[in-house]
Amino acid sequence: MKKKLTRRPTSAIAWLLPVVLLISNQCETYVDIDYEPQLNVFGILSNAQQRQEILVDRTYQIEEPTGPVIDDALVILSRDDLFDTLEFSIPDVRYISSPFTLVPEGTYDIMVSSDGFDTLRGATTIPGNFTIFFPGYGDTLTFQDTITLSRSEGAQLYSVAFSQSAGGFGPFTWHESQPSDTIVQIPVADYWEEALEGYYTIYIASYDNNFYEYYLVEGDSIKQAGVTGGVGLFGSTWIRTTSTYVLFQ
Amino acid sequence: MYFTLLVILLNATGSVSGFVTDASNGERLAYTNIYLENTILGTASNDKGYYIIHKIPPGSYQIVYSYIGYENVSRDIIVEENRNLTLNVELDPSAIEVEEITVSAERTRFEQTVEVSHIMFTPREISSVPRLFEGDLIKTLQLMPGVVTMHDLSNKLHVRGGSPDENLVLLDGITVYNPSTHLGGLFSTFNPDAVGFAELYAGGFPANYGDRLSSVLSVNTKEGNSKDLTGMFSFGLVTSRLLVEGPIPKGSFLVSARRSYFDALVWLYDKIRDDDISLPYYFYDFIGKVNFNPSPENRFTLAGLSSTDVLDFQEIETEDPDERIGLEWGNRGVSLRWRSVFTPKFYGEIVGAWSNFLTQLRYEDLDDSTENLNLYEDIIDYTAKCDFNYFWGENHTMEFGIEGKYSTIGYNWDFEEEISFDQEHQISVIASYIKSKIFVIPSVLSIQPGIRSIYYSKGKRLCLDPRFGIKYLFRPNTAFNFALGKYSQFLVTVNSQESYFSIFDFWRPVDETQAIPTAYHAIAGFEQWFDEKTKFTIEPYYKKYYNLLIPTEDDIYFSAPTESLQLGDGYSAGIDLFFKKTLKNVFGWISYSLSFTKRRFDGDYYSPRYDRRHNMNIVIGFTIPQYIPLLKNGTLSTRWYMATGLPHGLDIARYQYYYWDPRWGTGDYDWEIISSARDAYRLPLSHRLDLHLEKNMKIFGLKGSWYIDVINVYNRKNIAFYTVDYDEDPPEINKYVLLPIPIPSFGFNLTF
Repeated sequence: MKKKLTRRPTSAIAWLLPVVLLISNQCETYVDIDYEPQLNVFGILSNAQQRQEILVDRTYQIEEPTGPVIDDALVILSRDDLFDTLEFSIPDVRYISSPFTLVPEGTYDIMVSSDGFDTLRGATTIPGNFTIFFPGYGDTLTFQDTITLSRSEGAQLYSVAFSQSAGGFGPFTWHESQPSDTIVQIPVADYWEEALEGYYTIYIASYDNNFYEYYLVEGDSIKQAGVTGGVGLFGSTWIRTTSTYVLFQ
Repeated sequence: MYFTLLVILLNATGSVSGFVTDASNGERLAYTNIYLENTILGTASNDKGYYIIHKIPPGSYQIVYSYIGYENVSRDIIVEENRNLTLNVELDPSAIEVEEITVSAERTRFEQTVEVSHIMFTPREISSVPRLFEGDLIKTLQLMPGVVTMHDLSNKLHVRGGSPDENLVLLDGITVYNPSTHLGGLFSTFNPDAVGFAELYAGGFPANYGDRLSSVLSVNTKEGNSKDLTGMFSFGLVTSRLLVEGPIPKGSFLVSARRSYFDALVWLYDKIRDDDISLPYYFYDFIGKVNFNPSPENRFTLAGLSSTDVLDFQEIETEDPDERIGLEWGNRGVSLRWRSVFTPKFYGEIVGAWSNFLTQLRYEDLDDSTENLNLYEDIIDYTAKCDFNYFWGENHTMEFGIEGKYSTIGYNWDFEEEISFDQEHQISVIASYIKSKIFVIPSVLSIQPGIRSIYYSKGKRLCLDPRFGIKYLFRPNTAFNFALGKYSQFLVTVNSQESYFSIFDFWRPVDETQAIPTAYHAIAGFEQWFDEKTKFTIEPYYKKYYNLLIPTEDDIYFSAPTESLQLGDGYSAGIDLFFKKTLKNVFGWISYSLSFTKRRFDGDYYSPRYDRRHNMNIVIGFTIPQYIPLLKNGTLSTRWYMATGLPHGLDIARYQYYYWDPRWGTGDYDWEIISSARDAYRLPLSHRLDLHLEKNMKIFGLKGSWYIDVINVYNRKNIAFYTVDYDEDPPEINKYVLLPIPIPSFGFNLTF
């Protein structure tokens, strides 16, 4: 009886070890990532240019080598009276539209398709036109002044960029307005600490919600700003300019 | 027998009571079987070794004491009407074979208690399973059903879908806030030599425990040898340990110390080779205990714990170091306990305890003290507790008590000689409880209702936590259990309990504005004893959480307030299976757990990283047969586990995120990462085989043993986690394996 007891565990181990070794050989050695790459589009329609530009790229699985941008996609920009198939420009590395004039508050659609990827669709509504109340052309601007403009319909984000007439850029800032604002006020002192006196061209731009979402809304790592079926941004901006003499006092 | 029943009914009876102890060292023996020969009267000693047999008709009897591994003791007694006979008995350790012991302590407990999900550990079990470097209580607990671990080196306990901060850990009544601090969590605070026994309640714990949502681990150190001065010296690869215990007038003492010496070995190597290397890390712990018994009915116990890790890094690359970084953390505690038998039916214990968990980080700029930085976090508890047992009769035992705890939780941040941040919370928790164990139908049906009421000073809130247990022995060897309970927790951690490596825990009180985290347990158990040494249990359970306060990030928050936690809820459900067999030359168990754990924030359920679906452990140990030379009569034990991988998230894709400027259009880009859901993937299956070989020896007349362990015998590369290396183009997924090779270790013990 005693002999039987002492042998039992030995045989159990002998039985167990091959099973264990068999299982160990079946072990997984790779990570099976479940992700299908998608199109990645970047385009901001702007009234400052006649031809609109769309960059078409793709997402990559994490360990996939980076490739060139996609140059054989079908990219169509459309509105009620517009249907434009964009052409790929090798030097610009993006798709360029035919010349046309953007309509403020008009909605433009985009469709991008390429073999091996889901079709990407997007839409943007161009921000409304606005008036720069101050400074007007030829006005003098000081640190104590506030740039004042009428609200751009559909926009809650603005930017102000100063460009020296003699060449070179001056200060730049972003400004968020409240939805209830009818007048947008941007104090100069908030962002301009030191710069040369002189003549400047001021570029004031308003941005649609897609742009705002792409750059200012934090959280989701998958940016789908105005697009579905892929990632990226399809947004728009409306730009107005004025010239002024900036005086520091 | 009819006469006995008649006399009992007429109430003209007496009783016999006392303590049962080990004759070799004076340790109290829990769950000793005690009965009067040729009668139906009998009982078992409780967890403190105390027993009482009620309603004995006057007359002469032979009383028998039986305990696993000890010689049976019989005494002739005379019981008188309305009198109690106090009889304290010592049992001698026996050389008789295990099979001949008819009733084991565990089996006795099966008959006597109502509690479910209870596992008791002795030093034998801790020392007989394979270990990495040295035996460890927490590592042994990880082999039990319902307990999962996050990776091969983790020393955290995730009990039935709970996070480690939901476990109440007690050492001789001292709250231990972080029991897994040593060597990055590799070793627990509990020096295995000093452990007398440990109990784990994996769920459904009774009303005398509270302030945690998931489980209770109560570790009791040895009482100290009251007969002879004895000791043990243990040498291992990482630490050496010393235990000394012996008698004092009317009592005993125990001193246990342990220190790591990697630092000293590296220092020695550096002196020999002059390689300019150092390991400025060490840990030590100390456990002390003094028992004083002024009378058989009274015992005073003073116990202390000090467990500290020190990392003292000083620049060694230059002759003239100009900075020093020091990190120190650990548990400390002292308790004073008075245990008394007020009357044979009324037994109690009064405990006062102080405990502290401290974490301190110092940065000293030796050239410019204004650059010094000091981060300091600590929690201090003062606890006063009274527990009483009243034996109403042979079928009804009542326990009740009150506990008051005053805690201060401080965290500050000194920088540039100014206190930049300093906060301290004071909280009071006053709890009272009552529970009754009633044998409704003796030896068949017993119930254990209980309730715990808790006053929490933050927000002046009162919680009522009812508990209920029922046990139905529908055959002498077969029982069904059922337990229900509500549990509340008032201290939570602000560091993520899902971190792969976490040395510290930073505790915070639940705020006035926050709801109190609560859990409800429902457990149904089935327990079958096939013979006196073989048992099988099945326990399905369901645990529902409300008002969980959980950090959502992996960062360790020094000085983070409770407000940094998010409110959520969740549940865990599963089934635990346990099969255990003990023979003379063979012992072992198989544990299997199936569990589903979910947490929810903002409406979405997810699986936390410790949601292991399947977890199985097989432990087999046996005495090496006589026909194997050199090793005969040694012990070989094996442990094999297999577990499904843990959930994890992964960076799965990337794309270019373009910048834009109205002045010049499209600018540069960055890579934006697309991450999966936090539980979208599971790590591969884990499994591993460990071996432990131990053989008794004698050196210079001293008894002892040597041991060799091999962890990960067949070199399974269990993946603990993934990271992505973005310095590479394209990025590479790195797999981290914590046991890349089979790890051997060895050591020896000497007793004197």
